[in-house]
Amino acid sequence: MRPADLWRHSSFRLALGVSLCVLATLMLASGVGYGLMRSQLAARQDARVTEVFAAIQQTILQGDETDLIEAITARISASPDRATAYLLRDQAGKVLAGNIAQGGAPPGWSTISAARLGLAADTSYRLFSAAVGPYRLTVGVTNADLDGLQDIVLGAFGWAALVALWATLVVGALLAVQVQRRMTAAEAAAARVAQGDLLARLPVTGRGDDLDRISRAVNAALDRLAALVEALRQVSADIAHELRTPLNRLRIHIEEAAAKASLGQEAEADLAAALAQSAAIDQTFAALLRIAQIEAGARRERFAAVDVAALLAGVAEVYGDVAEDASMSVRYDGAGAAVVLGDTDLLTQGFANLIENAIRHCPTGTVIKCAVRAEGGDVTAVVCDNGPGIPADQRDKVLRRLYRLEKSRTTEGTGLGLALVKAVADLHGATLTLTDAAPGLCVALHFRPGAAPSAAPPAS
Amino acid sequence: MRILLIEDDPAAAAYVARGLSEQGHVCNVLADGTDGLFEATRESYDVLVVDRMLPGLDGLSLVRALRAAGRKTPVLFLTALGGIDDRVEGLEAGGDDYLTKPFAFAELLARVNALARRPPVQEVKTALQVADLELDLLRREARRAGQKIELLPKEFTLLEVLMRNEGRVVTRTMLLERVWDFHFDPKTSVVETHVSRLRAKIDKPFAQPLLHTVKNIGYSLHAPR
Repeated sequence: MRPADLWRHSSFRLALGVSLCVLATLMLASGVGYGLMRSQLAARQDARVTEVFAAIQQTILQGDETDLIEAITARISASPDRATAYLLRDQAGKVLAGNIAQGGAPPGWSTISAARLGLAADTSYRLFSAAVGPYRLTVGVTNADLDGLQDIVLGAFGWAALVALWATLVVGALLAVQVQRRMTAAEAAAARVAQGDLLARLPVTGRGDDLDRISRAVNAALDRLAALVEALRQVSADIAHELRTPLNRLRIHIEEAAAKASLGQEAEADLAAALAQSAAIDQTFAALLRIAQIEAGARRERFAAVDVAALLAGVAEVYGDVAEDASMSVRYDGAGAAVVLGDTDLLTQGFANLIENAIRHCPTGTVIKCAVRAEGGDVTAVVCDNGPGIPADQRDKVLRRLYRLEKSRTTEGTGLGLALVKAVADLHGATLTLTDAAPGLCVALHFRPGAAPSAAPPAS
Repeated sequence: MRILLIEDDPAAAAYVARGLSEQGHVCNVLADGTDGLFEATRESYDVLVVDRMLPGLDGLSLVRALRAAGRKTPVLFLTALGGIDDRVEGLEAGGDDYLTKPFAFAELLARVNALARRPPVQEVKTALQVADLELDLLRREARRAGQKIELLPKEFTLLEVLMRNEGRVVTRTMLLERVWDFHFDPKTSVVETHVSRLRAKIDKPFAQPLLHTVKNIGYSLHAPR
């Protein structure tokens, strides 16, 4: 990775930014600390100067000049590096003892550079001068310690900054590389999706960080997209498969009719058969499209409060006479309303499909019982018959598009009735269960108003 | 009757136009939505038959614009979209009826006829009468030759729809939509069953049948001819 590339990575810039902030804070802290230490140290120096000055003052007050000079000389020799400066002059200004040049230190406290005191050191001195009896005494200490402190603090800060910056660069680069690796993987996955591989997914590390969250959201969207595309693909495949056979039959009827017409024979029967065949094709086509559209979920926008009990009772009533003509009966049991959020048209068609299925696939004498129960907000609509039922191993399969039991192959029908009911149930977030009514089949639609309908993108 | 057909499929348009002409209607055909809107606003027609997908201006926008211009000409939408929301969208845009392709010509004709004779302002009728059959809409009572006939609520609605369309063919699909609010094609003989029950009550006990089956198309209620 080139440095310019590195700069483009947000993680690197973030690391650098954080470390610059830390350095600034460090600088402030060092400055305050240095100031405190320096004033503390300066106060101690002054105290020491005062102490030495007081001691010498004591000697002066005892009176003997020789003793005084000796005492100062002894002190001077005890401080060969001139850490402490002494200067004793008489009233005329003559130097009696001292290890510094006459710097003309003013009375009271003063700070004077070593050069002005005739010393070679690259520092300054803190001095105190005052008249003591017939003398003028100056005592001072070197500021070398203070200067040293400054060097130490500045040095420590400099090194710390250097190390921190270096560490930042390294850590930032490492982070950038790591993030880049994940981004590259995500980019590659996205590119695969763009090329049509809808099963490609962004990598998720499981750490639950921000990248993971984005990846999960994108993956969820891809799941939904893939499901929709798969549904579309399935519909196209179904149409191709299911419509070619009847199209072929249609073609045969028309060819027969054409052949008869060319021979001057009556072709009406063949043409009627062709019309009926085209109507059947249209029905299958319409049912497939309708299921696909229900599955797409756009219909949910038109949901309104529906009384399922009244609706099923109404549908049962419509089919009462139809069942009677087929020597069967339809009954509705249930009292009271059971309101869910749903689509009246689709629920009507779903219930109609269930009752029609029972009428068409059950023998005479069958009793079809419909009921709606409402329990604590949950609503269950049931359509049961005491006909032949569906074998347990096939109950899932009959919900598929175009699946038909072997014995129903010869009867009319698109094989889409239950698939549509399933699609309607899914749209409403309802569970569709097929159970054995011993004998017969029980189909239950279980609505849970609290449960959100199956995940779908907010449609256009 | 003057009918404007706005349809861009020339084969379908020619077939429908010929059929309508044979029925004694005057039918103009336009293939473009913008031309269609212009013509529908300029001329006075009894019914507009409008395809949903049109070049220039789509059917929905055409009808919206027409309604915005204050034109109340009845509109029948034709749609090949097959979408379950087409009907609702069509009605919301100001259409009066819809028909999904592919359709039988008889179905189109029945719907055009039903639309055209619709009174311009829905007059409030409290009673309907066909020959000696009477329907009191307020008391929800049916009588034939003065004899009271007991009808179930849906049978009453079925009879009402048929009587309102006296002399015209009402197709199976139209009955499903208007009587039972079924917007799909049932696999069992729902319409046939209920019509036969109704017939048993209003026709069987009497000498002259009023309710006639139009083969492969639907039913028609009219006085003996």
